[in-house]
Amino acid sequence: MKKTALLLFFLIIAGQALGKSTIGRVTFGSYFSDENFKRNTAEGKSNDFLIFSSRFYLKGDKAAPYNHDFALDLRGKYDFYGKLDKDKQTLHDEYDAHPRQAYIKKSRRSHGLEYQLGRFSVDGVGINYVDGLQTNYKLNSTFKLGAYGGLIPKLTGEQKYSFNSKSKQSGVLLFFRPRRLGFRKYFFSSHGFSIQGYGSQTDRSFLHSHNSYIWGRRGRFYSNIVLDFVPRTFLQKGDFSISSDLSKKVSAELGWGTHDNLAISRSKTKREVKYSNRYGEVTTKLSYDFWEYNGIFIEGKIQRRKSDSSYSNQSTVGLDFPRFLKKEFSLYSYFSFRNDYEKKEYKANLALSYFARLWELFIDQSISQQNYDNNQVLRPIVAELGWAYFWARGLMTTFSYQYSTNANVDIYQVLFKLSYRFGSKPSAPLREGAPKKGHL
Amino acid sequence: MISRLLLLLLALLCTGPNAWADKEEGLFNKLLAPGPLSLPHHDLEAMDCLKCHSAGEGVPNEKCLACHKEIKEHVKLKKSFHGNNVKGRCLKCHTEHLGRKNDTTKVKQRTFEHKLTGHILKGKHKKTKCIECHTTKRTKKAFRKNEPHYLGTTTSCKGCHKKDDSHKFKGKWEKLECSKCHGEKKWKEDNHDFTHNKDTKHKILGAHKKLKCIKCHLPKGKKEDSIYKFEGLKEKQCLTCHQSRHKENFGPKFVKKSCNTCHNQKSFKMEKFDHSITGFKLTDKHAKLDCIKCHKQSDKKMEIKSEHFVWKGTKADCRSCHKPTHHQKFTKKFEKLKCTTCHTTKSYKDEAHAKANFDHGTTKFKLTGKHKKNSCRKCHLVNKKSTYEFKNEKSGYCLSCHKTPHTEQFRDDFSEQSCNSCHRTESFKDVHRKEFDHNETEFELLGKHQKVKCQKCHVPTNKTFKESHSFKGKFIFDELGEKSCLTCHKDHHKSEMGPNCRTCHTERGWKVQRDFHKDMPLTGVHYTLSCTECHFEERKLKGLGDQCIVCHTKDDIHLGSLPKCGACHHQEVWEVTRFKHSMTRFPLRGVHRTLDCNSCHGSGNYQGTQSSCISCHTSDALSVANPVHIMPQFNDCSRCHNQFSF
Repeated sequence: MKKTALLLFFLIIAGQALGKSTIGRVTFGSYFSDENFKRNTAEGKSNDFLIFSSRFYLKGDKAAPYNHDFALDLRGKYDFYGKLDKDKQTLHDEYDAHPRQAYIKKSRRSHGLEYQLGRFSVDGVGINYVDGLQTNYKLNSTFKLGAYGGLIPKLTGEQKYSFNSKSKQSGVLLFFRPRRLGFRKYFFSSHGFSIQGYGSQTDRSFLHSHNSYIWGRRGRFYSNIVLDFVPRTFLQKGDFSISSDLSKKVSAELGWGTHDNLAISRSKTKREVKYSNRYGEVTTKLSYDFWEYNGIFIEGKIQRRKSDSSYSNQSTVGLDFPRFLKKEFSLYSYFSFRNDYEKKEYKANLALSYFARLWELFIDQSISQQNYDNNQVLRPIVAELGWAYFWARGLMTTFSYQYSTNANVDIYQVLFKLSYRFGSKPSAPLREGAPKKGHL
Repeated sequence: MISRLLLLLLALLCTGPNAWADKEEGLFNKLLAPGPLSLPHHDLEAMDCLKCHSAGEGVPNEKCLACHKEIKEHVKLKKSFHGNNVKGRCLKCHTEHLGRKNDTTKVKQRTFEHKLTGHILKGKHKKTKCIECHTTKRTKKAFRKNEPHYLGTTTSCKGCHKKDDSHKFKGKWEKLECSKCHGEKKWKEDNHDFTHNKDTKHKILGAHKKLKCIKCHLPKGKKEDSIYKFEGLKEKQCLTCHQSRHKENFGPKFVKKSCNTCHNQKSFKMEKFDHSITGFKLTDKHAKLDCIKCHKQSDKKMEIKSEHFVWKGTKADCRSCHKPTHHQKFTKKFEKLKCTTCHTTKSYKDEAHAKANFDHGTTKFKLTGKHKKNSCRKCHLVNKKSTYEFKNEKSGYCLSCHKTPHTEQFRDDFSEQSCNSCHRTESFKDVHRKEFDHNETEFELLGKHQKVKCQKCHVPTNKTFKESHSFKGKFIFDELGEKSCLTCHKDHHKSEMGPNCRTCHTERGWKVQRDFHKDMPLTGVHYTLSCTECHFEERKLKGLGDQCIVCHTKDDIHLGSLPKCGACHHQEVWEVTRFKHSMTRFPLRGVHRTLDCNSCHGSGNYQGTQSSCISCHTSDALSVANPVHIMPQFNDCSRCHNQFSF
């Protein structure tokens, strides 16, 4: 504990001194959950857990020597994203502290050679993390070619990345982003071909393509495709979304997605490939703005599960007011009807947020009725109260209390988090229309 | 016998040796008198003693006074020596029968106190010799015939000083004693007992009181007789003595007026003259002036003499004395303006009055702002010459006094505008934008631009502009239409965001940005980030607010299978989700709680995962031979198994 604290202190101080512009964040917090089951309590009545966790992030630009960028992302034990319970805590070490990212980087603004070394996420090609080296060559401000290679960190659970000397991956990358389209237009395209393997075996090869084009007020085209070639050719992931203004106040959105994730694991040296269950979804949404970005929407969704060829459809009508009442309030409320694979669900949700001078408050309340095919009726209620206070622009406290209940279980969850942001980079400007945040 | 002897004795006495002294001595006297009488009384010896004596009373005063009638008169009147001082018998001082040479009336001049006579000698009279007043000698007296005869000398001044009387009074004044006016100490001591204002009909006042009598009453000196009756005094008044210097210089209003109208007896020089009666009231400095300052007859330099004062015909018009500097310089409209509109007698240069009384608004140039505080000379006195006509009417007359730094720097449509379009008289340097509509320049000033001084943007430049010939175009921005903000502001985004800065920025403050996050308010941790943490390399994320995966690919534990993060998470508190596995159809219990998510949701497939046991435990079902589970009645595993102990 002392060593950790000392290390963190050193890193914070070093972080302040390093780099032309440095940012960092230290987060401490605790998460408590109490689940009380009302039925089938023979083997236990509750799934309680309490964790204390921390996180440290440091990123610097143009640090000495040679103006390298660097980043360090340390996750403490458990990490906040990990929902634990008592059993998991005792059985697994996957929630130990570990570096999520640690790299140095040389970046170029115009043209030239860039490189990145360490554990990092290869953006734009769907690869989460690699322990290796990536080099890019910027032809100009529009085109960038790259290549990467390294080891695939072992992912334990959902959170922990640990060094894995056996699995490797490599790939080539292409980035395209035309400049000077103006503020209202933006196009970005990234393509990458990656190969993952173990030893001499190729476990997977795939093409990842991401494209996004933004225009006008609501105009947007987004696509994300992962096309696998090894072990077989199939579309592992495809997400398409297009939205556009139909008129000044009306906009529409159409989306299509398909997922058939596969997971490759090794049991000792034997590869195991797990295919999931292809799932596809089509969504459509129609929005009417009473005033800019604040209005009503209607959304329809159809989902299909290939395994049993079952469909699910959902209709939602709601209000979306991200900034209203002097732009100090945010409201998101909807009523939906969902004909699920195994139930019919009627759901109402209300999320209301308030942005005060130095704090934020939100209330999220949802209530639904689930009529299962087996005539079971559940009425889950989820109510959450969250509060964030900004002691200073970089010092933030978050508190959340959530209560969830249905006929089977009562769940109480409390989160407390203290986050301190430091560095030389300025914070985001005050959001226009928001109340001033004191000396932030 | 005795009686005979007595008679004989008596006879002898009467005829004794004394008898043998004077032949005229009476017999009785010769017989009875103790001695002969003094020479003045010697003829009384022939008379009987009873002439002086009274039987049994001695010599009563009446006997003496019967002869000395003058003394009797004095005694009766109680005047003179005998009247004031004698008490008792005459014999007390004047004894007789001491012989012919007996002198009882001799006065010791040196030691005689004259006050005993009732007439006190004062002043010079004290030193005067007796003979000078008592001029009559005792020629008729028996003794000291050359000595002055004192008795009967008049105490009246005239008794001695008649020859000195130069007054030659007549009437009641003639009877007056000199002492009324003159003193014994000093003959010329005036008003000894004379009060001119009481004793005469003519009251003397003021400076007249200080005058000596002869000033008025003996104007021509001792050669002439003194004057006590002044002919025509009532009519002439002052002119009786004083010569008028005004001659015919008075105007008709004042010709018949008395000298008192202007002068007083306190001082002939006028202290206060109510000039208002002339119809021209003297105020302030005029009141302090000498008359000659205004009442001049000619412009010629001359020795100031009273006959040069011209009273009549002196005009009340300021210009008759003051040479106006505005002469013939006013426009026709103001030529007839009275000097008093602007000027006062307090101070000719006092502009406060001018400002109070003269409405500058009646001219073509209304005074406002700082112009109000300016002295008139500031504008109207150029090179020591007064000016009242100004050019540059188009510019609002500003250029008549103010130099313009904008020479040839304005576009045509601005160059002809009045200075008032931009400048105010309250502060010339403070360009008043309310008056100057910057919108006319095709560049609307908003936010902080409104507070910026003109010079901040309109910096001098040597550039030439096509539009306006060749000059230092301080107020023209030729590239404004294209560059807009970039004309003055540096583009930190290096053109990445395009030239239209207004897309994100506002004039309210460069760092205050437009509400471009309208569709996705930044809350929670996002609010503490800097823009470049999300928008690195100027990456735009408009419309991708619900596509968290765009930024959080590396954080996605769902491996991209749930792109709509907002369905479960909210950015205020990311960790606490709406999704509770325990509230699904399949709450994780028993051993299921110890598994990774991927164990069931292979590679992040969450939405398509079935909740039936067989969807995961297919191999387990197939591996059971007894009983074989691949039968319809084995579809529901929960009939036999549970999560805690399969």
